[in-house]
Amino acid sequence: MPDTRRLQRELKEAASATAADGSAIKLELVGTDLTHMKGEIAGPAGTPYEGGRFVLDIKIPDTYPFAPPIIKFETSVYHPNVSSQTGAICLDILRNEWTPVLGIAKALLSVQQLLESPEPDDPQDAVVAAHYKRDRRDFERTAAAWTQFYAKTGDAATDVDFDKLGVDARAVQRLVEMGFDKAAVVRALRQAQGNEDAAVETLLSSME
Amino acid sequence: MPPFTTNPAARRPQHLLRASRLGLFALFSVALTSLVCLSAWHQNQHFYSAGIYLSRSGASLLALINFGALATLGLGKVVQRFIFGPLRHVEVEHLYERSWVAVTELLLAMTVFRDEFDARFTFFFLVLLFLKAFHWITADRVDFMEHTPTAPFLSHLRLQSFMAALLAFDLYLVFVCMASYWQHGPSMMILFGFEYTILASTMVVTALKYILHAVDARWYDHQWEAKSVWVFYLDLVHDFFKLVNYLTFLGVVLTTYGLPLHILRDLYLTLRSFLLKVRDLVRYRRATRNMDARYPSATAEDLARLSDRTCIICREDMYAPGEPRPDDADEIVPPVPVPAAAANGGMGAGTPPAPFTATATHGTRRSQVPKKLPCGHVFHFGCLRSWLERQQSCPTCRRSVLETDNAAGTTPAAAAAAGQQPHPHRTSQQQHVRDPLLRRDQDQHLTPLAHRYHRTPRRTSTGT
Repeated sequence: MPDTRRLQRELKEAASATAADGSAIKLELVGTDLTHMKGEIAGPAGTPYEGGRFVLDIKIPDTYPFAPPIIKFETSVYHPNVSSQTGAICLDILRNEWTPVLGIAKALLSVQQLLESPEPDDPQDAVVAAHYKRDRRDFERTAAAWTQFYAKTGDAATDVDFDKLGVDARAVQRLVEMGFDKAAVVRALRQAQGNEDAAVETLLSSME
Repeated sequence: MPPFTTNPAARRPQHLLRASRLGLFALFSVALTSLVCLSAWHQNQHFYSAGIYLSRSGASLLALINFGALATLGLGKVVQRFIFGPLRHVEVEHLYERSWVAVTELLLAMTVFRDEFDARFTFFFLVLLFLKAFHWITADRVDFMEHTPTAPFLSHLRLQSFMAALLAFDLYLVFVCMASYWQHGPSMMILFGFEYTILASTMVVTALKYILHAVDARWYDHQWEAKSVWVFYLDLVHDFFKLVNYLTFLGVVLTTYGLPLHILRDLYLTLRSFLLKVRDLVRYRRATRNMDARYPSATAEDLARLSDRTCIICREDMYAPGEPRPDDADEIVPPVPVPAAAANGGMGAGTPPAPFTATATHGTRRSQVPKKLPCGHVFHFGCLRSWLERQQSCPTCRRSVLETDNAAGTTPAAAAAAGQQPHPHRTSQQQHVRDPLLRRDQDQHLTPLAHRYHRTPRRTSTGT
């Protein structure tokens, strides 16, 4: 069992920090289980991620705080050090450089900082990293499109270049022809990691 | 919301097809087997001769073996449903992964015992695979149970009895294989004998770990500090046992058959894991040997000089032995509902409703004594020991705790009080510190950064 007292303390501190200064990061439990949390970070200003709210999935290992929390992006994000498929993050403090001095909130802040300063030479997603190195401006456009579409709520997602969103255009076309909304199709396909059947399942169940 | 124009029936065939692939396979196998049997029956008048015919013809034997595989799979499914219920995603993933490795290795093993390859070998092969799959699921499930203290009593009971049954099977099969060896000399039964010995030992270890978790949950309220040490020694002994087993097998097979290719990977992995564990053990022993003497207890004066008397590992305040502390009641975080205690009938049932009472009365327990590292950073004895099990460096400045002589020249306590640290020793690994928080201020250590981002002082929330 992880150190539950420390976890509760961390959650409480994160909650009061969020209440005090708006919402640089947010941290809350998913259910009643202390070992599963959701975090939320704001995209840093001056980056293609600006204005986005990124949700992260946090699992607390048994040996916490001696082993790092297992953090991955739930919101799709286009970044050299984040897998565009699974959301896995390549960050040293979440691996060998972890120390108990850090905590969940600080790990989230590090992730936020990582958004600000990518490390394309130590990539998690090779394709994205190559894109970053090849054509920085185009990379930023794609990253901004992803942020716009996946990390913003409301109508912000309407005028987006759908070709940049990392889903199979033909699959989108097929599902749109079934009569679904395009934006919903793209989201569902991302969530289902490209599996059309699963995407249709999600789309149908969201209608009921 | 888009108009509902899709016809759910249109995608059904695809859906059905995927769900019933197994069913199709089953149908096909049954049909094939009955066809083969019928034709054998047709061509031979007597049951006995039909049997002979079936076992002689390669094609029909293949069909029968295929049917056997299907039956094994079906039985496996039934047992799994009954004992484990639906499998979790990760368990299925592990199952696939490990099955591939196991099948490949056993196929490699066949190259060694190729002269004895027959239906009997295939039978043993299937049985082994069958049992192995359940060992994996059991290990995963025990791991999972540890994370979910709310698991109902019945599922614990089922798991316990299943573990016992598996172990009994393993031991029985080891016995069978050994008996065969004594009677008929070396044969492919050696292979299975060793496989079952490994399985049995793994099952014993899994069961012991399960017991450790149970003890931790019932009597220590999930706060048993020595548990990780026990688990470590258990793994160490297990690795050693496996290593001896593999080496024996290697020796036996080398003298009678040839090089058993299939165990080389396992042998290498086990050897590596064992050596790494021994190395960790040596380092850990060195770092924690006479911790009391090696690391001085921080005095009340030391603690007063610190800017923050929180132990950064457990986030609780530290007090020197005998130092007056504020009323414990203030220190306790208001109890947020904890699932562990809410469980009814589970392993948490015996624990008191408030999970914090155990630590609230610590007084000057040994694990609560503040200890000072050579670099000047102070931690609780228990917290520090748990960390040193993993890494032998200061959690705050990453300076190795083993090289004590370097710190002699500095005045560690003063440095700590000022928040200024001696430059951390960076190992080659740490050259690649990629964390933006760290990189930006390479020459500072972690704590000032930590404070920078802590908008609300920790003190307010601890209530001291």
